[in-house]
Parts: sequence; structure tokens; C-alpha cells
Amino acid sequence: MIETDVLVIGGGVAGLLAAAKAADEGVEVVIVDRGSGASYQSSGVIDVMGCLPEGEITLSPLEGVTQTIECLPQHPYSVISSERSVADVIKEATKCLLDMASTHEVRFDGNIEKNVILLNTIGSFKITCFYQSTMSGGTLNKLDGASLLVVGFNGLAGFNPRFCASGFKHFASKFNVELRKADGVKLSLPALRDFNLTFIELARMIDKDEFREILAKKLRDETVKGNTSHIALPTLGLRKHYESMRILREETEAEVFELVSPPPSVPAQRLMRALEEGVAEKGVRILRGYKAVGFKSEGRRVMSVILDSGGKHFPAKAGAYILATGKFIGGGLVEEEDKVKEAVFNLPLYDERGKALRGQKIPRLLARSPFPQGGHPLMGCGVKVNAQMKPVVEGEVVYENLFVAGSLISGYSYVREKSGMGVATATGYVAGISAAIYVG
Amino acid sequence: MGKKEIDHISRILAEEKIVVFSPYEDEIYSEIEKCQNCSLCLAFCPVFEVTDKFYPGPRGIADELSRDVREFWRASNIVYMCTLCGQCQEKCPVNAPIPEVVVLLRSKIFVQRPDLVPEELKTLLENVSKYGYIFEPMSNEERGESLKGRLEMIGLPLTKDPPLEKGSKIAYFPGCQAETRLLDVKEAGKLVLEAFNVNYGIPEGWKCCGLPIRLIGDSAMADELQRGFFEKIKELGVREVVTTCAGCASELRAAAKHLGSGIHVRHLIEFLFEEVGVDVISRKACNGGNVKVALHEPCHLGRHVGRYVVAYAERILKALPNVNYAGMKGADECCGAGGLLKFHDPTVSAAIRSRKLDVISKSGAGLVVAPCPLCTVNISEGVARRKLSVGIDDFTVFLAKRIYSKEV
Ligand SMILES: Cc1cc2nc3c(=O)[nH]c(=O)nc-3n(C[C@H](O)[C@H](O)[C@H](O)COP(=O)(O)OP(=O)(O)OC[C@H]3O[C@@H](n4cnc5c(N)ncnc54)[C@H](O)[C@@H]3O)c2cc1C
Ligand code: SF4
Ligand code: SF4
Repeated sequence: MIETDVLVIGGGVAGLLAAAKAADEGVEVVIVDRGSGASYQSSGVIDVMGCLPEGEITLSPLEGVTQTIECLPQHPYSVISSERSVADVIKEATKCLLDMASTHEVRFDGNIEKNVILLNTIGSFKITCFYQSTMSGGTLNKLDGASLLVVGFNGLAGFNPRFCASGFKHFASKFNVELRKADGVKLSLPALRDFNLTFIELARMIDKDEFREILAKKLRDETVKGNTSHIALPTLGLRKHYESMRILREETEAEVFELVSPPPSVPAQRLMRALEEGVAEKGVRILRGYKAVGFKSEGRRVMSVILDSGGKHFPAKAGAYILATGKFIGGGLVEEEDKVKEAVFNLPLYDERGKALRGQKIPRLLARSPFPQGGHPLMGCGVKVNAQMKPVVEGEVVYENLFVAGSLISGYSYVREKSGMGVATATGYVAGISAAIYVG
Repeated sequence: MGKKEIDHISRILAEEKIVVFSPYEDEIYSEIEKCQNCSLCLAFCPVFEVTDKFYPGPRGIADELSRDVREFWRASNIVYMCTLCGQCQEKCPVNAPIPEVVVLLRSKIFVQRPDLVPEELKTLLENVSKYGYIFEPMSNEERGESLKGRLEMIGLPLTKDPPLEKGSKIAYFPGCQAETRLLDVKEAGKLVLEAFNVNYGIPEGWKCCGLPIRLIGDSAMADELQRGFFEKIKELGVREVVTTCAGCASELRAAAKHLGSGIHVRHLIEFLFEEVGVDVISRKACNGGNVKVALHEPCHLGRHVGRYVVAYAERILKALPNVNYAGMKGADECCGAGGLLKFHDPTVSAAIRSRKLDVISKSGAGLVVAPCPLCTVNISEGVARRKLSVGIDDFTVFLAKRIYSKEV
């Protein structure tokens, strides 16, 4: 049914990057995806490394990466570094991602040398490395001396502008940034439903010219009243974000920006759409609605992957396979009889420290507190890989033409260290190269 | 509980207008409880994107099921707006079956508050009672002329309808749209089956597949029609149905499974691909000039039956001589006709179609083929209105032309 050089299973950030890189190397690539995963749920910013191995926040991603490599040999960054400079890989991989995004209307700011602190919609902050340029106005270091107005909307669930404003003041001072003023206001606009409104609905409204005009007028009134220099909005739109930002800035003469928002964030939808267009432009075919449910192998070679579509099964044959099915949200890891299982190949699993899971039940992999500081140990579980991203068990490659990328890999916890998209991007990139070399 | 008690309870429930859930409905209920209210679906719903009206989208529809059963009628302003495109369900992290919920809510409203069923939809239902089809058929004279004109235009002969008999292998089900509107689709379906020597017949007295009836809310009538249809063809010893309509394919297939009928339902594309094979198809369908063709992927085939069917269609098109297949970005986007939205709210439906027309214009194709007469009619209307220079053909008609056309 499907025959290609490289078959990528999973179209999250890791799968997309792997496909992009393999296609750049000149091989034929097909992605199959059953629906959506963590990439769609994310904040749409690219974390590379937000803390040091002991858990302390760092403003230098590279320092974080360097110390990680020194202390944590099982970490995917360390595994990559056994053959190449991991800093170089991260640079190339994120460049590949940002280039694709920017040619499809999602531009990023930031660089690998520096982490920034962005304000978020729950009144605290998010540390990250690359961020969409609609958020740039809200990097904490640019807010010194600012007179900030946080704008909410009547009915928008889970966002309280006044609470946020006071939170920002508090956090800013912790980082030695002085906000001259931080106020919150809740706008009441008749065009919006006044209960249970979501960020995506609001974004779609802001995309519409008429609504944007009304919003611009309201914001201008508020700016004049409060002598505002910066305006923080929960979103700037799903498709016309730049146009909206430009118009709102012109109207208000204030620095209008977007806050980091909760899952599934609008910026993540923009990013995913842009990346999907980006890989398609490289000639990659994305087949949606196909779920990998099994495989056939001969010795150490995967011969085909079985895909389910509408209850029917089809084989997909490729020279190399890249497994980028994510963790629990993506569906790469599933629960079976209270245990964790890799869903497609039943690959052996390891924990965050690199130790083999030996059939531990899931409750044993959960921390006692529901929101533990370091995240649940379960979140560090996954597949162990070598420097080419081939799955290994006790040092031996499981299948020579299978490569793994993204959050399915074990040995790290993005929840704790803030490295989610960084690892997904870097491992995807390496898996893409390795698979292309394998078939080429 | 004895029969007396059960009757008593049923009577009270009926008086109170409380409708008991079937096990199948219960299943949908438990599926939708998984909805995390995350709102991801809102980024993909076409109705939500184009309408300025109050429409809370798939997430809001999922919410509606958390109401008291007696209150389902409150959803009446939203559930008729859904095209059942299935985009939301595919992207949803828990694959919440929103389209099924929409159908469920429509059926409950139909029973509890028939006054709230939109008038346009009631008219369609009357057609089914009167004629057996969802649209009023043309008069014999009109039909004859329209058919002649259409067939002449595309250069296909008119043949008799072979009746389904004992010993027939395949029951060909043309569907209402091909029987009463896009008449050439039915003729083309027959010609294609004949070209590949398929032993088929058209079941006598067949009626609407039940999809529009279910969409209006009369699920009892839909079930009855479907049960009757399957029984009838089973009496003749026939176990396989082939249809040329995406909607009929998905509905009859789901019904066949749900009613445990043991009947295998396939769209013509699926049948040809699996039973005849691409090589034979391309050897037969070798006529006609050079043309750059794109494929519209009907929601009812791609997302309801399975993406593999549109993949089959693509494989067939790619194999045809002189056909230059153009991949179309947005091929799987809804054309706006589904869910009876076109009849209930033509403005919103046309706005969704307008997005589809943008997709088509950008594709650079000279011809777009759609394996569904409903999509074909809808898209053609839009193309005519916008005066685009692209042609639109039903897939079956296109295939018949490639088989029978004299021009080389
Ligand atoms: C709420 C949340 C917020 C986050 N925010 C950030 C952030 O701001 N910055 C950051 O850097 N990181 C963030 N992360 C982490 C980051 O999103 C993930 O680490 C990253 O997206 C993982 O990408 P992936 O491609 O490995 O997996 P996924 O994105 O989960 O992709 C897996 C894909 O595989 C598909 N799939 C699974 N099984 C199959 C199968 N059997 N057949 C076919 N397809 C299949 C799924 O449909 C899915 O599309 C966040 C994570 C979460 C949950
Ligand atoms: S239906 Fe699915 S995508 Fe929509 S809100 Fe519920 S869980 Fe999220
Ligand atoms: S099926 Fe389509 S139209 Fe209906 S709610 Fe889902 S996305 Fe919207």
C-alpha cells in the first residue's frame, strides 16, 4: 500500500523534524499520523534547556546542556554528544525548524546562547529559548520601567488579568526588573460570549477585521487612560497574528504582545500548521488518520509496519522507519494491565536514570504528591537509543533499520528540565540524518 | 421486573418525554465523557471558522451531553450547524466522537421537541415519505430529457437498469443524489460495473440510504429503512453492496455493522481497487486527452469510512494514462454540503465551500474529481458562481468517460 524510503510514524515536532531532515538528504519520506499529540498541546515556544542538573534555573541553555552531558550520561543530549557536538546539533536542528516556521508565517526570536523569561497567563513566568515574535514584547528584561496593562475578556475561562498583573510585579522584582506599573482590565465585548470562552475562540475572533477594529478602539481608550507603554493580551490570533499585532500597535502606540498560554495554545497551533506546510514543501507526504498498530520483522530488520485505517489493516514498507509517537499524550506509550508499554514495536523501556523498567506497575512510577517538584518518574520513561537514535537494549541494537525520536526517548524529563521541543528537534534531526544515511 | 412494571415505567418515561438510551448510544456517551474540554478541536472546525453566529463548536457540542437528558433540546441551535466533517474527532487527543454526538442529539430533539427541528429539514423528510428519496424526483419527461442531455454531453450511452436477482453478486446502490439530481452518476456507475464484467443488479424499489433521515433526527425510520433494505437483498442471496456516493457508503456500512446484517458495503472505488485492481482499471480506462486532475476527498469517505479509500482513489487516478495527478493541499477539507447544513444554513455552507474553492483554485488542476455526487453538485455550483475555469466531475463519471470516450 505505502512504499517509501523512510516511513516516519508520528507527526509531532520530532517526526516533522526527522522527515524534514531526511527529505533534505534527498530520500523519499512519508509521515503517518493518527491524530495529534503533545506538540499540539504545547505553548508553541522552543525550550532547549531551562535548568541545571540539580534543578536550578539557568539563563544559559548551553551551560545547562554542557552540565547535563557531564552529569547525566543517559540523557538524549549526552547520547547525541557521543558522536557530535551536541551544541552544533541543537543549532542546526533548531535552525531547520525555525526556517520552516518562518517561511510559513511563524517567526521566532531568541538564540541558543540565552534563555528568556516570558510572562504567562497564570500570572507567573515561563523560561524558554526560542519564542514566537508575537511574544517578544513580553520578555521580562524588556519590561524594566514599563507601564503594563494586562487585558482580559469577560468570559475567557482561566485568565484573570488583575491577578496576573500582581503576579508579574512580584516575579519581575525577583529577577531585578522593576515594572513601573502593572494593571489588569477585563474587557466586556458584546461580540464575545460571556462564559466559558476559550483562547482559540478568542483568537479566531481577533482574526476577524470587524472584531479587531472594536478591540483596537477599546484598547486605545484603555491605553490613554492608564498611560500604558505595554499591553499584554492572552492571544493575538490564529492566522492573522502579525496583522493584528501591527494594527493594535499602531492604534495604541503601545508595545502589544502575547502571553504564554495554557494547552492547547494558539501559538502551538500556528507552529504545527507552519511546520506541516514546511515539510510538505520539501516533498514529504503526510498521511493523516493512519495508526501504526504492529509490524513484521525478519531477524533484526523491520520489514513492514501495519497501519490501521477505518478498521482495515495495510502494510507500509520502507527502507528505514522512524518512530516518533511521543509519550502518553501522543500515544507512543500506553498503559496495559497497569504497566507501561511501547505501543507499536513493544520496545523495552527504561526510566529517567537509564535503568530498565522491569514490569513495574504504573503506581510505582508516580510520585506521592500530585504535582511533584521534579515531575513524576513516569514522565522520564521511554525507549533507550544509541547515537544514531537506534533503539537499544543492554547495549545491543534491537532493529538496525528502526530509529526513534522525540519524547518517546527515555532518560530525561522535559517537565522538570524544560527541554521538550529542544530534545524533540535535536533527536528528530539526528534520526532523520541516520535514516537517510541508512537507506542512501 | 415483570412485564407490567416495565410497561408502567416505559409509559411514565414516555409521558415525561424521557428517551432511554440504546446500548449503542450509551457507548457514545461514555466515549464523550473522555472530552477534556481542551478546545483543540476549535482550531479545526470549519463551521466554527466561518460563522459569526453563536456556535460553540465541537467542544461545546461535547458539553451538551453533560446536560440532563430532558434538556437536550437546548442544543437545537447548534447541532444543526455541524457538517459532520469529522475534522474535530481526528485531531482530538481522545478522539471524542463529536459527529456521532451530533446525530444522537438530533435524534433526541426529533423525539422530544419536533417543533425545534428546522423547517427545511422537515420538508426533506416529507420527500422521503412521499417518494422514497430525499429530493423530489423530476417528472418522467424532465428526467428523460435531463438524462439524454447529460449523457450526450459526456458521450456515454443510456443503458437499462439491470434488476437485482437471485445469483447477482453485487447490489448497486446509486443513492438519492444520483437518482434524482446528478443522473449521469448512476448511468456511469452501471457502465463502469459493466466494463469490468461485474455481475450486478439494482435492487428494486430501493429507497434513501437513511443518512439524511438520520441527520434530520428520525433514527427509527432510518433503522427501519436500512433493516428492510438489507433483508431484501439477503432474500436474494446477495451479500455485497456497492455505491457511488460517499454518504451512502459510510452510512450503509455503519448500519450494516450496527444492525449485524453481515452485508459488506463498499464505495465503487474500494470495490474496483480491491476486486479489479489498478492495472486492469488503467488498461480499460485508457481513453481521453491529457488532463491535470486533483482529487477532492469527501469527509464521508476519508474520515468516516477510512483514509485508505481516498488513497485508493489517488492510486487509480495516478495510474490512468494521460491523467496528470495534481496533489491538492486541502484536498480533505470539507466542501460545506455535509450534515444537511446546505439546506439548513446555505450561507454558512457556502462560506465553507468558498474555502474549498480557494483550495481548488490554488491547485492548478484543470479538473477536480469528487467520489461523491453531493460534493460534486455543491462544488460545481460554487465554481459556476465564482466563474472559475476548472472542471468538476464525479469520480465515477470521470472513470466512465475514460473507459468509453472515443477521443484519444
Ligand atoms: C501541555 C504541554 C506543554 C508543553 N509546552 C512546551 C513548551 O512550551 N516548550 C517546549 O519546548 N516543550 C513543551 N512541551 C513538551 C513538548 O511539547 C514535547 O516534548 C514535544 O512536543 C514532543 O514531541 P514528539 O513529536 O516527540 O511527540 P508528540 O507531539 O506527542 O507527537 C507524537 C505524534 O505521534 C502520533 N502517533 C502516536 N502513536 C501513533 C501511531 N501508533 N500511529 C500513528 N501515529 C501515532 C500522535 O498522533 C502524535 O501526533 C509541552 C508539553 C505539554 C504536554
Ligand atoms: S472534543 Fe477533544 S479536542 Fe475538543 S475539547 Fe474535547 S477533548 Fe479537546
Ligand atoms: S464534525 Fe466538523 S463541523 Fe461538526 S463540530 Fe466537528 S469539525 Fe465542526
